[in-house]
Amino acid sequence: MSGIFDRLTGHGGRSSAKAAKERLIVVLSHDRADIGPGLLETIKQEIVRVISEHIDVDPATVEVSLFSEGREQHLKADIPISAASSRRKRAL
Amino acid sequence: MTAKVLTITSGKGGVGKTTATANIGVALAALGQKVVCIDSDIGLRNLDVVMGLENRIVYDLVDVIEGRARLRQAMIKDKRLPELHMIPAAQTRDKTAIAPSDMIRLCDELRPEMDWILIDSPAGIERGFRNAIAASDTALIVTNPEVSAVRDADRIIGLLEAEQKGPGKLIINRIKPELVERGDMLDTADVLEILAVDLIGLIPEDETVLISTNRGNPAALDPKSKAGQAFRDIARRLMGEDVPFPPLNGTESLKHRLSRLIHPKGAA
Repeated sequence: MSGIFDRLTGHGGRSSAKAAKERLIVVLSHDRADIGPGLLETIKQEIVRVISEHIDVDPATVEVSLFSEGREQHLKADIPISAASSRRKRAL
Repeated sequence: MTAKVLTITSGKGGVGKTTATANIGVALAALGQKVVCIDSDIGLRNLDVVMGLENRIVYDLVDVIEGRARLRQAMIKDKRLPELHMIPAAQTRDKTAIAPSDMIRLCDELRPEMDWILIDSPAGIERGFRNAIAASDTALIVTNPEVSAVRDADRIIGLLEAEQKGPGKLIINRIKPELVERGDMLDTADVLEILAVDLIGLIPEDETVLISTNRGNPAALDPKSKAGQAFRDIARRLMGEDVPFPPLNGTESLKHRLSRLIHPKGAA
């Protein structure tokens, strides 16, 4: 609700409360799951390594992150498949 | 009579645990409830001064646990409210002077005589916290709308869940409506979304808290204090009453926001 007001009144971008909220959401995801940014990076590299055995992925486009639903934590991996690997899959 | 044990905790220090304990205790006693407030912050005793009972201490919590005094001797009766009692912490000992099992035993002894047992937890997540939650039926988690206090509250909520003492109820203390209004303080919805826990109190920043604490008269005794009213509301919610949360940045804020919405240039 306040978000809509903020956007409509042009307050959104400059609000320090919004920055606080966004930073808290990220840090609490890490705290709750006991997965620090370092471990998350390791998990990402491992995922890329395993997936790369089958298809081409650009490590730079892979995103591994944590998010919360209520007090439940989720690990999310977004792995875009490059056009080249789609072609290769068909060729095989 | 079987008392309910409430532990007032926060993780972070200085967010208002002791103030909340004193005021909720006062507010419950003013509703005719039999209340005992226990200071479990061994070595950093403060509930006595906040409640204005520091001159009446003879025995403390550790004296009771170590058998030097009976419970009745250590329990100070508040002269303002006949149903209000306080057991002070020991000042010259540390948290290791008591164990979680001692708190369970103490509360079991108090339960038949009281309606409410309020335990003021020390800051931190170590022994003192374990002692404070050992006998707890419900935890009241005090936080402030700022990043470090919210982060520590989250840690406490997680620990309470792990100890099967969760989920607890949240008190957001020291809210500054004017900062919330201009987008420089987390609002209630933000904090609740982040912590995903039930709310039981919203306390505005209010200088009457400092003034009343200076005098040793908790703000909940002052009918004109806004914070005092917010603590009285918590007491009524604890009693099962459905007390709406009055808007702190309330109607004015909404009006202000609407007027900015309608007249964006004029308000900017």
